Formats: sequence, structure tokens, C-alpha cells
Amino acid sequence: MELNPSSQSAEIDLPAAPDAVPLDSIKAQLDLILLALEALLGIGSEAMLEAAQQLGQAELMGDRVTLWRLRQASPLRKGQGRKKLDVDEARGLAMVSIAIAQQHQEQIRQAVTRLEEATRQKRAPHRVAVLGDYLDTFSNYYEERMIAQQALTPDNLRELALKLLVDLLFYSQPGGLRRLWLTLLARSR
Amino acid sequence: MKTTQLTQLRYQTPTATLAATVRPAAISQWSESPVVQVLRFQLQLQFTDTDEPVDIWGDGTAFIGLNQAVQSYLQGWAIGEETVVQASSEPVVKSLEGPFHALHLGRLTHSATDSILVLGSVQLADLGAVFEQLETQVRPLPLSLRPPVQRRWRDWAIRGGTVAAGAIAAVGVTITLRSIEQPTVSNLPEITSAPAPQSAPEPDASAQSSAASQSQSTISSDARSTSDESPTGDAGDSALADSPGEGTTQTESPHSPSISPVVPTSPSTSAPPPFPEVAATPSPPASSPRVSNESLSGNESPSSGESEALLDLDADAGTGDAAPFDAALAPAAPPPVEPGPPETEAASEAVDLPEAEAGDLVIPPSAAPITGESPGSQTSAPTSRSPLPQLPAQVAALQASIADGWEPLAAVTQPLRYTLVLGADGRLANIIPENRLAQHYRDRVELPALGDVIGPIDSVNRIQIVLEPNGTVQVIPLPTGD
Repeated sequence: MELNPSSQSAEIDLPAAPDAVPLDSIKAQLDLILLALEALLGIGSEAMLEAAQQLGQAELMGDRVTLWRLRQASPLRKGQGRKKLDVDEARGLAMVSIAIAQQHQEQIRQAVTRLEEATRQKRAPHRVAVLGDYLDTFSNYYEERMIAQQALTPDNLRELALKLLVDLLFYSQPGGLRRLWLTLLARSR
Repeated sequence: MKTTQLTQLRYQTPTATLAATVRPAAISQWSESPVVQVLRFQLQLQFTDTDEPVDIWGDGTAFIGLNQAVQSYLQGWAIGEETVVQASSEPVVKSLEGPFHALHLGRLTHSATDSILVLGSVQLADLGAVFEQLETQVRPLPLSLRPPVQRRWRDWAIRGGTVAAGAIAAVGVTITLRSIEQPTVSNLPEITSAPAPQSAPEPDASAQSSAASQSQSTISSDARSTSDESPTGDAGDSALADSPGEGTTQTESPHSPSISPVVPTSPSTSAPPPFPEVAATPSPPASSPRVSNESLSGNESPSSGESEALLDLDADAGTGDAAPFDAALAPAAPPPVEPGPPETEAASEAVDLPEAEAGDLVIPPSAAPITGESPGSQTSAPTSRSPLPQLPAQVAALQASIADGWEPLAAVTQPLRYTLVLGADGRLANIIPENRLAQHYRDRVELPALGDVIGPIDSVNRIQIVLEPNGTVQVIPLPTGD
């Protein structure tokens, strides 16, 4: 692979990913993706269960309790959950996440477009209505459900939320499930 | 001055080489790897049975289509799934007997003699590898992120009829009066910033006339101020052909027909005026320095002093016929341009046009004003007081919206010209850059997106957009049959 910038090209700076949240955990990633979808789209467990049914995953997550237990496997979650998630269950959560993202791809796209503009214009994302709502909801959900972490500042949390939002853009497109799987595996190395 | 950072990426395997010009997206700061918008790409495939490599090139939209076709085929092939065939114009890979695969290029621009390439498994693997390498390094946006300005365009389209009709009538009356006063003045900023609709509702005509008279003095003063602008920088026009500036890294392919530098056009170049009422005004005198460097002398239109913000937008053009841009990748011989279906004839024209730039930037001779007046007969109307023919409201709204978002680029001192091709349903089917600069800056110009509803407009299936360096925007409906 050859990077061939000319003298006038700009370096592609690799932004630092928020590292306060252990995204190397596949279970954590799956839960956070669903959290981001909830915060952005205003959906709840009903939408996830419906998607699971449409995908033939009702056996794995047929009711709220089962779904909650699967998501509770995330090491970031409060409480003493089962903390286990097998491959099929992980796949099921991934499929549900992707299905929901693809159903709402226009909404996700608009949000990321707003984020792109705000960033170019050097405006704080939270000042954009849809992004502000998303960030507030994401923070509230996160603080309600996840173990408090001293290293996780509000800025870290905002960065995480926006990072997940950008990820959702890619997942909502064709090939999103494949991208998600590759990302889960890549981050867990 | 805005600086657009572009980067060239290149990935090579034994039988496939991929070069792409990308622009980092602002959202990269929330991504582990840079998020980029692919603006242009060139893919070179080497076939073992021939010495001639095949070049495939296009814009970001074409890249997305090709990348998806390859990736989805590889994904499905691995698990034994059949490729889902998209629209026939989209690239697709299909399996053949044995270890062979057919890459249907669809509407992709390429140098092959056939639009179907037979790839061996090694070639297919190499093809997948170069795309994978790119996606390993960066995250190419799978779609363009449309800014609110384009939604504002839709709002304009909805509301533009009434608002534009009043403004256009005011402008039109003013222009007629000015042309009567100053028949030698060619610049018509009023027109380009507020075109007249082709048919204004009867009840509104009187109201518009009164509004026109009230705004007359303001518009006139604007026109005078802009006409006083000295045409600076025009001497550098020809140099711009190869140095668009703005920190771009684009290199030109030697075999691209669009590389030929733009030379000053003759003052006698005639072109249809943007609006029928412009026909009332004669061409600018040949001694005008602007004319000597302008490709369309009849369309001089100093701005009214507007300065709209130009959002650095992702390109959404589906032209797909951008000439190869990577000199390192290009073969010596220019690739043949395939004649395509009617929809792609415009693409062929777009490729041919740069060759014409040596003498003229050509507006098709059939692109006459709607009134049917030829560009040469521009002296007849100044004394006429007859009602001005008006442009369709949709075109007026289009003009207003584009003008709203057009911010001249400092490095560009020549007009950027695009032709919008409308489908039968009035939706935008294609955007064709008419000159090389327009092609180069396509991603920095806010135009409606493909699929946006613009028409339908009677007898018009093409609309030419001219973005002047002084900030004005001309919209020229081209009658059907061009």
C-alpha cells in the first residue's frame, strides 16, 4: 500500500479515539451501538424485539428480559448480569443493530451531515438541535446504566457518542453488518 | 481563502492499481481512521493476455458503486450467494464458468472496448485487495453528506415560484430600461441573480411591475458598481487550467482530453444569453478585457456584490465521466470515449468540450434562447417595450438557490459551466461539467443533487449553469433536442 501525497497534500491525521471506554470488548461495543441507536432514534426495546423477530432471531431475544440480559453482558454495565454472550447471541445483537440502523439510515445520515457541517464551521455539536438532543440522551442513558468511571469525563462521553454516531452511518449502508463484524474483531485485537 | 485539502491515495497489486483523490471529512475527528470523501478515482487492471491495461475512472459516486459491487460480490461469492443485480447502469460482478468473473462496468467510464471485463480469480482477488487496502487506511464515505443548503434548495423550489416571479419581473423591467439607456452595456447582473420566469401569473403582473419600478434604482446601482469592477486576474486564466490552487494535489493525466489549457476565446464567440431578455443587449465590445478572456462573451455578468458562503460540500455528481487524473497511472494513449446511450451522450460531449476550448468554450448552437432569438440578433429588442419573456419559475428558483450558495473561489477566474440534464419526470438525471475547471471544482460547487425535482419544464430537458468568478450565476434553459 502506497500513500502518495503530493507536496500540496495534507496529511490525513488519525484522530485519537476515546480510550476511556474499553471498546476492545465486543460485548461493550454491541451494547453501546444499541445505546446510540436508542439515543438518536428515540426507540426502545420494542423496536429491537420487532427487528429480532423479523430477522428470525426471536428465539435468542424473544422478550425484554432476554434482551436485557444479553445487553447486560457488557462489562460496562452496572449490576451483576450474566456477563456471558456467545457467538450466536453476539451475531443476533449485531443483526438487530444493523437492521435498525438501516431502517433509519436517512435519520442517521442527517445527523452525521449536521455533525460534519458543525465541525467544519467549528461549532460545538451540542449546539445543533438534533446533535444536542442525541448527546444529552446518550449521556443520560450511559450514566443510568453503566458503571461510573472516573476516567470518563463529559468530554470523553461526548466523544464516544459522536464516534458511535459516525459508526452508525457506515453500519446503516449496504454491507453494514460486515463492517460491524470487522470493526468488532479489529477493535478487540 | 478557503483551502481544500485533498490527498492522493494509491494502492497497487500485481494486476490492479487503484488511485483515488480523497478529501478528509470533518467527522474524521470522531473516527478511528480518517473518514474521507472519494472525489475521483482511477482503477487500472492489467490483463495477462493483452499488454493494454484497462483504465476505469470516475467520481465519488462511481467509486461507491464499483466498490460496493466488488465487495458485495466477494462477500457473496465466499458464501455461495448470487449477486443481486442492481440497476443495469450500475457496475456489477457476476460469476462465470470456472474461475472467471464478469465485471459489468455499467456507466463507468473506461478505456476498454467492451463494457464487460472478464476477470480471473487472481485479478478479482487483486481488485478486492486494492479496495480493501483503501478501506483499511481510510473510511470512504458510502454516501455523500448533503448540507442544509441543498435542503434549502428544495425549500426554494417549493416556494420559489411566487417569490422568484416578483423579483424576476422587477429585474426584467429594470434591465429593459437599462438596455434602453445604455445599449452598449453587456453586463447584466440583475438577470443572472434574479432570472425572469417564463410565465408569470397574470394577476401578479401588475404588482410585479410596480415592485420592479421600486427596485429599479437599487438594482441599477448594483449593476453599475459591478460593471466598474476591473477584471483582475484574467491574465492568469490560462495558467489556471493546470494549477487550480487551493492546496489541491490533483495531477493530470497526459491522455486526458481535458488537460489542454483554456486559452482566451475570441471576442466574437457567441453564446445564447442566459435569459431571453438578455437578447435585447448586444455583445460586449471586443476591446473589453473581460471578453477576451471569457469563454462566453455574451454572458458577462458582474455580480451584484453578493458574497455567499460556500460550504465545502461533498460532491454528489454522478457524472462518472471524469477523465483520468493520475499521470502516473495513465497510459500514453488517450482512452477512447465510448458512445453510450442517449443519457451518456452528454457525457461524451463533456469530454469533447475541452478539446473545443482551444478556440471556444462551446455552447451547443441549438442552445438558443427560449424566444428563439439568435445571439447575434441582440440589438433588436432594446427599443422594444413588449413584455419580457419569462423563464419558468422552477428555473428561477434553481438560479436563486445556486446563487445563494455560490461563493467564487479565489483561484478561479473563469466561469464554471455545468449542464443539468433533466429526466422526463423533471428530476435531475445528470450533471455534466462543461469545462475542465468545472470538472475539477465540481465537488466544491453547490448544485442540486441527482434525483432532485427541478421540473418538468416545457421544452426543456437541459439547463446550463454558469458560475461566474464575480459571484453571479447564470441559468440557461436549453430547449429539448440539444
